[in-house]
Amino acid sequence: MKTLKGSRFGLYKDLLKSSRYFKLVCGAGNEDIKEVEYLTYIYTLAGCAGFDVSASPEIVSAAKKGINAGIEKANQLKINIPFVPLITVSVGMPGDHHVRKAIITKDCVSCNLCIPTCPTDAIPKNLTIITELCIGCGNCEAACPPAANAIAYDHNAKELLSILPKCIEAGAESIELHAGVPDNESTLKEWEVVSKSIPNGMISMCLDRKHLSNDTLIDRIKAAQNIANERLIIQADGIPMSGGIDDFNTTLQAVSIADLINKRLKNKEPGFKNLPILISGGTNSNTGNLARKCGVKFNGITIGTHARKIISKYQNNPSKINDNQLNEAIKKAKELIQMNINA
Amino acid sequence: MAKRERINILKNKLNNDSFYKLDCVFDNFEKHKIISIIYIYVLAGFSAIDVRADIDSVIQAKETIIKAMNYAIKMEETILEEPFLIISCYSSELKYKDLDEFENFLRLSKKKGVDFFELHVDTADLDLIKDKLLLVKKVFNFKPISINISRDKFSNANIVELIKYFRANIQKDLIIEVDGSEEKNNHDFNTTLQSVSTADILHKQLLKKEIAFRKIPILLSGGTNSLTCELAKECNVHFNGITFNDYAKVDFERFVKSHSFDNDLEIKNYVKEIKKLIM
Repeated sequence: MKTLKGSRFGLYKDLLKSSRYFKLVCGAGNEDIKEVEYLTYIYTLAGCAGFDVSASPEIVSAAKKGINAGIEKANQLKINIPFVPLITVSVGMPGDHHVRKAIITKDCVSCNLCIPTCPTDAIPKNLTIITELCIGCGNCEAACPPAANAIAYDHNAKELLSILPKCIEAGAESIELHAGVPDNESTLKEWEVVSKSIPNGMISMCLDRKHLSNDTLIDRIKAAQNIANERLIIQADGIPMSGGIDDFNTTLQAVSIADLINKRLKNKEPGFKNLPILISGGTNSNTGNLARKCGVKFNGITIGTHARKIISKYQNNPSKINDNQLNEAIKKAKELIQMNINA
Repeated sequence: MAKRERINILKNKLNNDSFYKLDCVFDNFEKHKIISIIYIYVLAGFSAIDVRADIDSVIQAKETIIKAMNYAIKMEETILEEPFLIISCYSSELKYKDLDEFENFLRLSKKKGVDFFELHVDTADLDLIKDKLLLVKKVFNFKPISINISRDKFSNANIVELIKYFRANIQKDLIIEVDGSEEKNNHDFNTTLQSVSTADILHKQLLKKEIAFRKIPILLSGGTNSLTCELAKECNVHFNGITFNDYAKVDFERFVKSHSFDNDLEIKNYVKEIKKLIM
């Protein structure tokens, strides 16, 4: 096991530079230890380069456990894993979808329409949301009858100054700030904290266009680079957590925002020529294909909902999964990575 | 043609997803070239011609439309309906216009053959120009107002808010022209991506979400080319028509480099090429 240039920072940079970075999003709000362990185990075996997990030391440890189990299994199965995948922790601004938790209020009319729409089965029949499973996607809100309007949100507040060092100690190598909110000043303050928490690591800002125009998006990236310099990664988010269906339509916004950043910044301003762009938010097995068809360059692809969904039926404790299930799950995960990165 | 009939034609074209518009508000482009482009696109069966909001441009466009229609008769080509003539203006420009002068301009434009108005929204404070927009609605007999909007200055949420404001306070009958606002027009999928994806976001965040907005027609514009329709279809993004601007200009320049505009056969062949855009 080696890194490309010896250091983990160099490895990260090289993966991005060669556009080979595939990151599995376990879910910024996903605090289900067993699921994180399972996902990191399977995707390590499939050759995934990085994992994005909730900013919690326990979850980082679960990811490490899954990765280590995957590496051990790879030796048995004679699968070559050239490097240990990188772990990123996600934190977010209040209001950003990635770091909120849904609540069903007393206005609920018990129509149960929200139950089947939840991608993580966080809504049981008693209609009390299981907080650890909720990823804040908002599908329940969309399904809730407007007359009832019974979904509210809690911000999954994390005191960055205290939580980030613990995550790093647990094994996180990179931090991502979900910053799809209008408030520029507070965003940049939090960004400073993120930057200082890991002065020698890559830091990623995840941005979408729900509350940002093209002009404000570009301005925010410029401000982010002023603080992070060559450590900056931009995660271009189409529609956060919208990757349920595997078609071009679902991934269109993700490819489109990456294109916009290329055109307005990377292709125009020499200082941003090498800015790494990861495509996310509605990503699926068609993302790389649509990006290539449309001539949109990217440095990596980040997939959450779709990547988790395709292996969910095999989900089990890594020690209990049988060989057939394991091979099937690895095959599906590997295909997804290859379709996007190595095609 | 009766006024009622004309508005029905417009609605039918939009409902049948066959509204194709030439936007000839070109910067730094000679007048005679604009006339030639209008001529070709009318012959090709385009549904509408969009010109700068000044009387000279209106008169010039109307004369060219009539000339092209007469030529079509001579050439035994069929143009079923006279294209709609549209004037467009930026919201930032409108702010500084005097109300009376603006009314006179609108009335004269209508007299000279303008069918309806398009607003390019580049400022968020539509309240400041509400009186002028209500005037537009009155002068053009409550015909739809077209709104051109891009994501340059507005977030996805802002766009939805602006459309809602417009519908609630100005005019219910709207056409939304989404603008990919591309700087260059290369003949590829990349150039048309922003336009298709802006239409997609409107579908996802407004038309599919709120019943009252379900039937608002969407036109694609800004970076549109001969691949726009293909990309939109592959990405399952519904649209009611396409507006061509820079593509028409660049393609016309390519044509005149190697062809003569005095030769009927060459014009006919070029019209045949342009017709492919609307199929």
